[in-house]
Amino acid sequence: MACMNCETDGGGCGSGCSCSSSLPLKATGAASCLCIKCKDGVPAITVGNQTEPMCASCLYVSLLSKFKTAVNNHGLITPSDNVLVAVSGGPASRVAVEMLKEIRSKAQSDADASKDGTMKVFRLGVVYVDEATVLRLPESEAEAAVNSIKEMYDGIPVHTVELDCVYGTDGLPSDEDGDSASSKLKLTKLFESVKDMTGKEDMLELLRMQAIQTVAQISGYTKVVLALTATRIAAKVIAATTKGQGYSLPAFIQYLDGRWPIPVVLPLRDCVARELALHCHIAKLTTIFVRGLTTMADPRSSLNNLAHHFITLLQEENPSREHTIVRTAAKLTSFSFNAEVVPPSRRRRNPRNHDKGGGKSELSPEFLCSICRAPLQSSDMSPQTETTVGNGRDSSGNYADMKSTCCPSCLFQIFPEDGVQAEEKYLLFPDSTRKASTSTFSQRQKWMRSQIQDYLLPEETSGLFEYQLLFLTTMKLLLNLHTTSIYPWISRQLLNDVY
Amino acid sequence: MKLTLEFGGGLELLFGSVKIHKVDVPPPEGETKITVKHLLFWIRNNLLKERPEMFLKEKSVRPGVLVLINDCDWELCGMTEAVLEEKDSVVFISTLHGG
Repeated sequence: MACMNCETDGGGCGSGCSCSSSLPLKATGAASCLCIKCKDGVPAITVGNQTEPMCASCLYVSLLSKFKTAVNNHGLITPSDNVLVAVSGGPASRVAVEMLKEIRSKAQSDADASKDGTMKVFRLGVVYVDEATVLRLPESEAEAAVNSIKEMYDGIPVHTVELDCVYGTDGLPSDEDGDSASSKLKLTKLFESVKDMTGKEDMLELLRMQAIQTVAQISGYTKVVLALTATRIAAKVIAATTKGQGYSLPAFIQYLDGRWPIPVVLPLRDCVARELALHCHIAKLTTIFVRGLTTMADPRSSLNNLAHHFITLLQEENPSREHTIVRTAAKLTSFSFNAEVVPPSRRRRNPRNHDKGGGKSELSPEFLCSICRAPLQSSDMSPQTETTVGNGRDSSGNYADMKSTCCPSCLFQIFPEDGVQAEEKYLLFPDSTRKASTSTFSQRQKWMRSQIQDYLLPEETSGLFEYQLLFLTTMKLLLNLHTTSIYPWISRQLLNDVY
Repeated sequence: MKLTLEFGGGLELLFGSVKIHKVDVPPPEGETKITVKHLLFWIRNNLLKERPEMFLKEKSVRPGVLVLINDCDWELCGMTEAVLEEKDSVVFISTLHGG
């Protein structure tokens, strides 16, 4: 290829180019085609950070520094951590692992050089979740993907796990063939029962996370790294808004997400997909592409897909849109489980981090949706139906418990059924999800009880409690008022009536 | 004109799951130069197996597809107007799928 305006061969307008800056460049600056970071006139290969022409090595330095800043400023990874990176074979997770390897080897050489040898270095492993059952991929394709992943991450522990391990008992993946076949069948049925494509995608994401958590717990990891880029987070923000998840949105766009047994961190939050893909190509990092649920489908096939297309369209108009969306959404108050553990050395420099995330947790404990683990707004918690309140409930829980502890978005997309169908679907969910719903349900009962404790009748007449609760929830619905403010008032009225 | 084309990030699915294509592209009638715009038309007419809307949008590639000419971002080379030469490599990477 030659420069358009002059006859110099090679990388665009290289150092020998004498053309004027009449190229239709998006980049600013008249010298245009030279890397603006290197001082020695290296030809630029791309436009990084939205407007800066950069050479390949400066692009990597810029990506690495964003990654390191995220890790250090937010205390995402400490030397004592055992880090598990969730990989998909795509460029983002590939680069994340490469960067962590580099940071680790630097830390290792520092540790080796230290005199007392007490310096610790974090450990690293990767996990790949094989979703072939759900995606209906031919076995050969799934096997090839697993093999390439193992090849790609040669030298560090690679865990590959099939998605149906979420059905394993007590967090252990089922090994026996019979078990595995039945859990695969369950998984297929569960996905068939979810009609909505957006619901299917969300469900896949949740089960994938459960599988990753299972591996992390069994193998003793202390942090899970997700390679979510700014591009994907921006798309998630838009998608979540359209799904009506405005309340829970701040929970999953922070650097740290502690809703899971093993905390999840997002160190690539400041990097865009485009730059990562470019770096992978230039640095000859192999990536694989595994078909997803909506691959080759119409953009309108799911909300998530549509949001992603929308973001790339915006990006085309203005390259900083992704960052703008992520930064704007990050202004929303996050939850207590997003609070970062800032290392003491950084504390004074980031005074804001102290109170970050405390805001919403003071009034009530955080109750999470039993399917997607989105924080529930108190007004979203649907009242218990008569069957759950009136009749004696066994400790194993039932579908009504689950439905009453679901966020509206999951109720709409994943679990809209009622009656017998709902009962059947409830049994298809993994044990962990069902357990979560039972425990959320009983915790919430306990919390509600504690809120009205002062106004309750003495022990011997406590059989009335269930009826009180039913009465209160009905009243709450009628008045549509905030739970915490209305409960004491109603209880008092109720007591007046009783006496 | 002999060119090497490479498709990645899922775009290969549109080209029979083959990533690298070595092709011989004739220049448009009455001209000797080949621009990227011409190459895109040529790909659509000769190479693309299905769903042209997943690759092209109007006269350019669809948003979210990264184009590299000899490992240089096409935004620095004049986008669709960039002139190609013998044995150039052109890479198309979709960033629409996550990582």
